[in-house]
Amino acid sequence: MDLPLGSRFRRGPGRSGHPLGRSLALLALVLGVTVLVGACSGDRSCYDEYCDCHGRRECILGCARDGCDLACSHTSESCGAICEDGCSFECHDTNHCSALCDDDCRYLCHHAPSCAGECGARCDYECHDVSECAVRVGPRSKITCRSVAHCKVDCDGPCDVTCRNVDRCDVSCAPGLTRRSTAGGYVCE
Amino acid sequence: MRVSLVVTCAAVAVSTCLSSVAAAQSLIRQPGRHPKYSVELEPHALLTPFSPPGDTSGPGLGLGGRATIVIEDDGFISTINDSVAIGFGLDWVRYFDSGVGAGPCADWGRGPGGQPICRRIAGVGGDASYFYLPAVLQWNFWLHQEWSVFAEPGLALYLQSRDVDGSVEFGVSPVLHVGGRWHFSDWAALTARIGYPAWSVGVAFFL
Repeated sequence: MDLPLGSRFRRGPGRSGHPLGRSLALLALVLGVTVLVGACSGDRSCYDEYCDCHGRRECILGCARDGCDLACSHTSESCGAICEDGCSFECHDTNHCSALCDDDCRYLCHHAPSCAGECGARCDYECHDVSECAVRVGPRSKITCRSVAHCKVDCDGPCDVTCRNVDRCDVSCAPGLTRRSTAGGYVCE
Repeated sequence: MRVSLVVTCAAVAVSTCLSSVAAAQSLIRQPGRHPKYSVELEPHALLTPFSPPGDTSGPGLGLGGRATIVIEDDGFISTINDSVAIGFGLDWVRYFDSGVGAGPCADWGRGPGGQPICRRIAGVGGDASYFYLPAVLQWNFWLHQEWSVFAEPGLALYLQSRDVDGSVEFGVSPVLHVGGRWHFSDWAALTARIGYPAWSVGVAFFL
């Protein structure tokens, strides 16, 4: 009994096509499966928020959204972060720490030869047990250097710098602001 | 591991489908009895439970289309109702990573005190947009007047654009899909496929 097929559902005219075409198609099928299996058999790297940079030569974390919480340590050369507003970054036990972030960031750097950073307004930068700390901050930022040989701070607006157990505390204020000594360090106002 | 999972799921889906249509009016043992068309055009939506090729990770959503040209109206197996086609497509997928990537520094600049500050990262993850240009071999199995399934191995060129550093890179990715169609009319079908790099649901038009 014939099936109630639609107008386009018809029995074909029989076997058609060149044998070479079928062979090439079959070859492509086998090749495709082989490539896929080979490509998917390896482990992927970790790029999670708390991804461990431990043991790498250089590890720079990048976060394209606000409010990232990042950490990096125990790399042989350098650790760093590039992030947006509200970023928190802790860096320690490496040769050099670098941070680049927008407003409302918190940057903690310790136990490293050098820590460098640039951040926007309301930056909270703390650097301790480091040979050289250098940071440029935006308005209304708070900077703390503790047990540091050289603390270098460039304030692009009003800021509050605390230097404790620091051999050399250099604070530069943006044009139009004056630097004033305080009990713990300097302020730009 | 992922490939095994996909293959297992596909096998279960196909066997379930086969068994359900077996009791109905099966066409699988009637070679050549399927829609006669030259090109299948299929706009579709994409979902990616897998991480994409490259340094990006995380799931994604997207849109795309596929044009599939019949090259063998009767397929590899002479005793069953199969056919072979070659498909070409363009897919856009937006991947939603945790937003965090990692890699070495691509641009060390000088910061305050002359200290180096990294201003751009090389090889990062993070959110990204991908454009795929897949080329696949489509092996169709015509099970029933209303149902067909297919396998699609192939390769895809891809372009990835990452948010973190704005970088653009090209690459090649393997492609493997299994899918099914519900032929709700003579000229169109609801089509779904699972596999790598993205799952899809769309409507296929047979021209």
